[in-house]
Amino acid sequence: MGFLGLIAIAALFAVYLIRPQYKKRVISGTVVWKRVLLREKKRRPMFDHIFLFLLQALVLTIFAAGLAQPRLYSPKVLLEDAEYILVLDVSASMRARSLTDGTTRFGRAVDAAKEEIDGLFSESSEGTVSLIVADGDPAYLFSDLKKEDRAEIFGMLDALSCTLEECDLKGAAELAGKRLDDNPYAKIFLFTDTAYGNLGTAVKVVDVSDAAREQNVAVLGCNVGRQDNQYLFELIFGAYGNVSVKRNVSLDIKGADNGQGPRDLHLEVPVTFAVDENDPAHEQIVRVPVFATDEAFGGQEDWFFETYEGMEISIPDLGDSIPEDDRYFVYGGVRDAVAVEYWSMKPKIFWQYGFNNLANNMGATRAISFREIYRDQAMQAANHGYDLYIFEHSVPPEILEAGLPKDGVVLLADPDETLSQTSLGLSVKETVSLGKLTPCTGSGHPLLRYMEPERIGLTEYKRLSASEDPFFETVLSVNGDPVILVKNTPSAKLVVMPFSINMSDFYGDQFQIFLYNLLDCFMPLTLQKNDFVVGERAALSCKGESIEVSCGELSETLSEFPAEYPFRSPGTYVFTTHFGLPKEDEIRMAYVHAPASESALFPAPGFRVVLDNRELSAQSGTDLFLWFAAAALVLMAAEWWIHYRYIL
Amino acid sequence: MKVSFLNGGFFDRLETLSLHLRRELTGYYGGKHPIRQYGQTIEFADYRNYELGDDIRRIDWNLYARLRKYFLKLYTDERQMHVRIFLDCSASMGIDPQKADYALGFAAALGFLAVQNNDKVSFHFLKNGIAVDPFGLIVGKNAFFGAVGEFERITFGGEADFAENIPKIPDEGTNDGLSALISDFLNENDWQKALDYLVFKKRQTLVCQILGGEDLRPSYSGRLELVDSEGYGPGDARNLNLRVGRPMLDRYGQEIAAYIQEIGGICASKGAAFLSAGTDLPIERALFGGLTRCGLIV
Repeated sequence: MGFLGLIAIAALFAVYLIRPQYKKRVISGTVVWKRVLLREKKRRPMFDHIFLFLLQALVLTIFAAGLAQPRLYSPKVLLEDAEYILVLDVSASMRARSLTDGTTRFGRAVDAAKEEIDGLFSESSEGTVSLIVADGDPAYLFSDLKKEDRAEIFGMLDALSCTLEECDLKGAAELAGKRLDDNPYAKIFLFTDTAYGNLGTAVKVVDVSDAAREQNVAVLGCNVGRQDNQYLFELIFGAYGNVSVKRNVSLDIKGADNGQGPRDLHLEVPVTFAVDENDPAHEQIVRVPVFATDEAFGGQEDWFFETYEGMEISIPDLGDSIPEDDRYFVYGGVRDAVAVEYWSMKPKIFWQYGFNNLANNMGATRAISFREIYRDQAMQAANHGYDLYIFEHSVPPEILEAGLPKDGVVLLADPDETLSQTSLGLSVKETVSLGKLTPCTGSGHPLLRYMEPERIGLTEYKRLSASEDPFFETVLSVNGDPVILVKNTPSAKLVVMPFSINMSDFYGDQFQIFLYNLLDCFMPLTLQKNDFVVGERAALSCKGESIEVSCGELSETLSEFPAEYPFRSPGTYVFTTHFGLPKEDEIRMAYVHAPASESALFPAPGFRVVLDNRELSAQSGTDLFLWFAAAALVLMAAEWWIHYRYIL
Repeated sequence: MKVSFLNGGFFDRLETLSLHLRRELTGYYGGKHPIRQYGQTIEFADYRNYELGDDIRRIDWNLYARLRKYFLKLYTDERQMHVRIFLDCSASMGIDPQKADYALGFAAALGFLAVQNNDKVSFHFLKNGIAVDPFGLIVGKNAFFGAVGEFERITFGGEADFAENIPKIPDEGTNDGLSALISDFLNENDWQKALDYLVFKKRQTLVCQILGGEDLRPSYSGRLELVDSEGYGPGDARNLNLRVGRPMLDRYGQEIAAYIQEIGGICASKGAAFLSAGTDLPIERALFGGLTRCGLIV
């Protein structure tokens, strides 16, 4: 606002500083003109004098008033104590149920809200009620409803239910606090399960928790690591409220493989959940380490698995408050397999070296296999079954005969005249020798991400005939001729590099980044992780045409990428990538669980805002400074114009 | 600068005219302007009684024969007039060549009317804050035409300050002729002080205002910075920023008329003759008509 004020003042000065352009004219003397102006001034109507004076006085008055920070108060201000803003926590922890009467926190919160509403309507017939639902994205459910809308209000309250995500209670409180700008006397009721204190005089916190009669047990997570070359699972449990039991927690490992084929394993782990009775609101965190060689995994001490597809951890039903957090899934044994076929007349070590490096660095997410074929070998190049095909110098005759592979990315490096025999519509026109290392020019294509194209120099390349295929993009060029061409359509993924790596300095870090980008562009990871909480959004990338997301009865197909997928409920989500090619669908799974913070029934207050009822002050009402500045500007302009009309 | 009006035809038309002075003249030199004193001309004026010491050659013996009393025969006297012409040679007069020609023509005409009546004439050119008298006292047509021939070399520029310069001219003559101020009076100098001085010196005074066509009816319009020709250029306080439109031009026309009238009123109040002429009027009409109306030529 202050900045706008400064702009307004600057504009006022500008109005006075701007002078029209005058054409010079030399005349005998200006005596007569001065007499004309003098007479004009005398002739000016008295009204104008008064008007000008009034305008100037008004401008000064507005300036003075503007300095006093004027604000406009709506008539609502007069309705003291007559506006209630209810904030209802609908997070997962509000599902906590009393062991004695079976009521939930949420139910008690709704009842308490109804009570407050009735209290208001009985005292004030003009009172208004607004309700903010405090979920992950707080918003008003209804606003400024009156006594006559009571039935509708109660109906909406009854229709509300708890989510399984974290709530943004602070955001909801701040949203409610904005009402105080309009009505400093509004009252805010916060129905939640935490005893917030000192949130300000405007806020009344209604704590609906009942620590003595509530309980919850949850699987909070599982850390997977390796110790002595064996898997070590650290199971993390939480117990909250009035709980003291011992249970056997089930571990079901699917697809455990020690190299002799996958098998399913089951383990029962005894865990004691006991919260100190003297401090029922306190939590208990239990950490249980389990080794893959545990005798419970089939009673074979010397047997341990190297890989596994997934693991389910589940606590037997205790009848606790949030059953959704009693199960937990761990996925992560499956990596993206990338099979590379490299066929060359004179193989270069760069390729194998580069992919080996990638395999080492990206081993956690990708399993890269590299197959190298010499022309002279008896082995033939395959035109299917690989994710990346690299044909160097020449396209293999068997590929020319069978056609370019369609199930993966095809990279043609330093192609010769056999290029024209493919269906790409490209051919080599001539070999251009540059004589010296000439730097390349890059486009903004993602294939060059993190790269410095000017650091790539060529001494020789092959000039290609112009392709009529509009899907070919020039990624890298030298002297205006393309040296890396890319085509990325659902039916064809092609990279053409018409130069030999031997005739360039395209090796080392730039080449390594290029290979990384090659995989990232054409074969992106569908999910960056596979462990989510309710309310979180997953970033999805697609290697093929579409991704089908399914979870129980839920099923949705996404076809535009990159995309974000929001998780609204817990469970196992399956992401199936359809390639639209003669290639098997890829399946990835992710587990979405209730947030651990919500499993904790008695968390400490997690935020602090101060919302005070206040007297009419500089902070309440609508700030009129801008309006005053605008009015002053208009009046100054009018005064200037009237002045100008007579004098200039 | 070739002065277009100063040619034989112009002066021929002035041959028949002579300046008429309404005041008594003082001085020693005889001229063609009769005065109330008695002198040695051949024109009879009056008689008076002979007194002891009078020249007996002037006794009217015919009258003595009839009346047996001595009466002296008195004749009228005539004096030579000194015409002083003060010409404004400031930039405002030179900005319009026609106006400069007109002013020089006026000055030459008044000078010619003087010399052809055997009067003395002197030209004082005022510019750059000083008054210059390059020709000195001119008597006779030869000297006059010699001076007029030099008019072509007169340049205009700077400011003319009548009030400052005229009283400083080393000329002590009182009641000895006609003084003419020729200017456009479009500057802020206090020319009335000069007029007061001339009136104090009991000289008959003629104020000639010469205005160019642009001075009377400006042809310019639009948003203009009007630069005073006698100013110091941009930033001079005399300059004006104006939006000139038709209404303003109409008001200017009214104001210039009022200004001329005001100058005329001032002159009348001080007993000076006033003549205002625009350059769009033929100079002969302005001269003959104007000077006749003022009663200065017969």
